[in-house]
Amino acid sequence: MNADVLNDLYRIDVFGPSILTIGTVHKVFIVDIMKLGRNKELDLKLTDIFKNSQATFCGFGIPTLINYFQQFYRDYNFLKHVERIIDARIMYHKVQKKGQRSFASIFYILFAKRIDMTVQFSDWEQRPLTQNQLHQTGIDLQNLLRIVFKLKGLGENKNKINLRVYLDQIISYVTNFTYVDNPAVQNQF
Amino acid sequence: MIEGYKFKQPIVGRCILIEDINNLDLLDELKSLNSTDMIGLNV
Repeated sequence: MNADVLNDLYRIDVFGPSILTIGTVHKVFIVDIMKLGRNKELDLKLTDIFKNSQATFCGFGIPTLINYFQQFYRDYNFLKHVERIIDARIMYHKVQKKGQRSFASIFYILFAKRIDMTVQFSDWEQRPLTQNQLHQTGIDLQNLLRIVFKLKGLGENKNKINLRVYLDQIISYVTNFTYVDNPAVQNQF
Repeated sequence: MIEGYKFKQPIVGRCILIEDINNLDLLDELKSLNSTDMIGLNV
């Protein structure tokens, strides 16, 4: 249910995102932004987390994700300043050098398993969300993290200097809704 | 920077739906993570 898939399946470009999923390998929070609407308290909370957490953030298709929030939730500021964020799509490109692929195709290449798209075709605007939808949302985030960890391992095994620098020295960032993909790396190599 | 992780169990049961503004404080635990942790973001 990453941004790229949603763009094709759920007319997210018309209605905007209905949920925001944020979490770790241990716990996933599904924030119902459609229900909460343009809520200042939510924005302040997310901004606080994005600015103060020492963790590294990751997503898939960050520029697309940013565009959605810029277009549909412009009042939200939490995505304007993220100091450390990894785009798994770009990460894959740096490791495999095979161009940019969809989330599902990268997952299949790395794990030889197809992602079940059944739930992704369901109605994400209806409330309450079904247990299957909530389940799938958690699985999607878990799969995203699995991709990042897998690529990190592959990068180390292949001694990919681009990826090593990407992960260890220069993390991409977002400023004023603009995704900046570690320019120092691009200049260096 | 990124710690390896083996997924031994499904994440089902660890999803928390936040649809009430009074429950936003549940997100605070994400602030206490350290630099080796990874936070995924999706829509």
